[in-house]
Amino acid sequence: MPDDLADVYRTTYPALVRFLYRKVWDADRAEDLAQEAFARALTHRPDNPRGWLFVVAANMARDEARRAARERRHLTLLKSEPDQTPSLDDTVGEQLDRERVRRALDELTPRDRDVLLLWDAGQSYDEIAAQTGLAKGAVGTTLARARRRLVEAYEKGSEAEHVARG
Amino acid sequence: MSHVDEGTLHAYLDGELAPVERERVDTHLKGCAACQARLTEERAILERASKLLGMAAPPERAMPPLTQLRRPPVMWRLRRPLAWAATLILAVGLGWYVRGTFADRAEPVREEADRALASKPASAPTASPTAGLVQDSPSLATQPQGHLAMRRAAQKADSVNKDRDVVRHQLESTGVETGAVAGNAVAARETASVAVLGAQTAKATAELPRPAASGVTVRRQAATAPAVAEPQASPKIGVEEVPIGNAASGVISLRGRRATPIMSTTWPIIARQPARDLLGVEPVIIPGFTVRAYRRNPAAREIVVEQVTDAGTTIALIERRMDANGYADELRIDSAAPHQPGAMAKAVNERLARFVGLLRVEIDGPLTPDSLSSLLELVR
Repeated sequence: MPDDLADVYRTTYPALVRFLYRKVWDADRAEDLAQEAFARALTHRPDNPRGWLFVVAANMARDEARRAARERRHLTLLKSEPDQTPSLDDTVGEQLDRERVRRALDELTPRDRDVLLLWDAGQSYDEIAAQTGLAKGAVGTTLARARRRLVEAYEKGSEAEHVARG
Repeated sequence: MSHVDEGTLHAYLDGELAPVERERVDTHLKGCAACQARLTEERAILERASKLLGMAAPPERAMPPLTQLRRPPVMWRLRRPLAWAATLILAVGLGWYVRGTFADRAEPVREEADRALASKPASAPTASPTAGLVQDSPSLATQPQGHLAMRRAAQKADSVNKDRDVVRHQLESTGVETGAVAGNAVAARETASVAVLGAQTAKATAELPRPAASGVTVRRQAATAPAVAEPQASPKIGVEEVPIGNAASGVISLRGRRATPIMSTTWPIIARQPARDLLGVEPVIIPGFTVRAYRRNPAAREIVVEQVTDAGTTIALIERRMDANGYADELRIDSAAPHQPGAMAKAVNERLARFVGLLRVEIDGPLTPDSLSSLLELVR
């Protein structure tokens, strides 16, 4: 195994898990998919492993979401266990927060969300531009809009909850 | 310099501005209170957004060593929610059950037939090891009525024989499992033969299987109606149905051929023109992806087009020319492999296939069935 891929693994794996987690919202699945992406990288030896990994991971997460939706449809009668089992060390407050952020992220456009998640996973503007097809100059603008919308959507969601609770 | 736009402010805060541009922004900010205020505001938004994302972060866990990642693909599926595993088990179990049920159903008929034949030696056809639904002749459903019933039964046996032969011939020529459908016709013929004997001897009549007692699914039909070979309910596990053609009077929909691992990577590489000559038509490809190689199957009139996706994944399109009825031009070598019950798990590996004109195109590659399916849709 080449050292460069081992280096990429060390530096990128946690970021990739983080990126995937915001897409599948299940820590185990996120890790599985990240590991699968690296396993594929070992086979394919891409020239630019970092960018390649995020593209592959994004595709896998999308397939995963479709498959999950299909399975949910198939399993409605079986009453399956919930999508994500909260881990024991999670407090109720943490779960609530995460759920709010998740809903806020859902309100972003797919492109804004992707750019934001890629940045948060440690990708540079150049890398984000290469992956999303945006001009490098547009990445900052997209990020500015995505951040503002995320904050607004989150505040709005929290307010709605307070109103609902009375 | 004019005021600094929002995007540039974020790039500035993210440390993503080129040194020259950064300097210009710094210079402007020193003399522009408005932009300083906006910078403060944007910084607050940026920090807030990061904090929110941090709240939605996965728990920190130890990384597995990279060397452990070369696991069989099956492993990473195991951690799916239990319900998914349950569905799979249910589907496989159902498959076995259906299989078993049909085999069981065939037994009583055969035993009854054997007994009836033993009591009156005759040149009756021997039973096939597989049988499905039994088409009953009217003489069996009601009481046999002398010569008329006998003649009808004989006619029916004849017509079923013919149908059976047609079905079997067609199935063999397409190289697909013949068990269920042909067995169906065989069982029908068998029952009809028993009915003939029944009309001849009162003793045999007494031994005829009664529909209710034998537990056989009986279908009553007009005496002259041709036997209908029907597709069996077969377990499906992510398998695309490929219509192959008509047999007897029913439309048979057969499952896609079981994918034996194709060693296509060792097939000789050929140019596009010979590939075209081999198929008789232009080979189809997934538009937009680079074609890495055309290869030909040394054992059949079949080619593989290897294409590389943007992500560097190699996709194989296995293409062969079919005749107007959808049958292969020639028998495929690997289709001669006997069907084994234990091969159930292999069904998961069946390739997706579709017809593009007269070409039957299968797709293979290290992607999810979803991805392969959508790629196959693009083929033209």
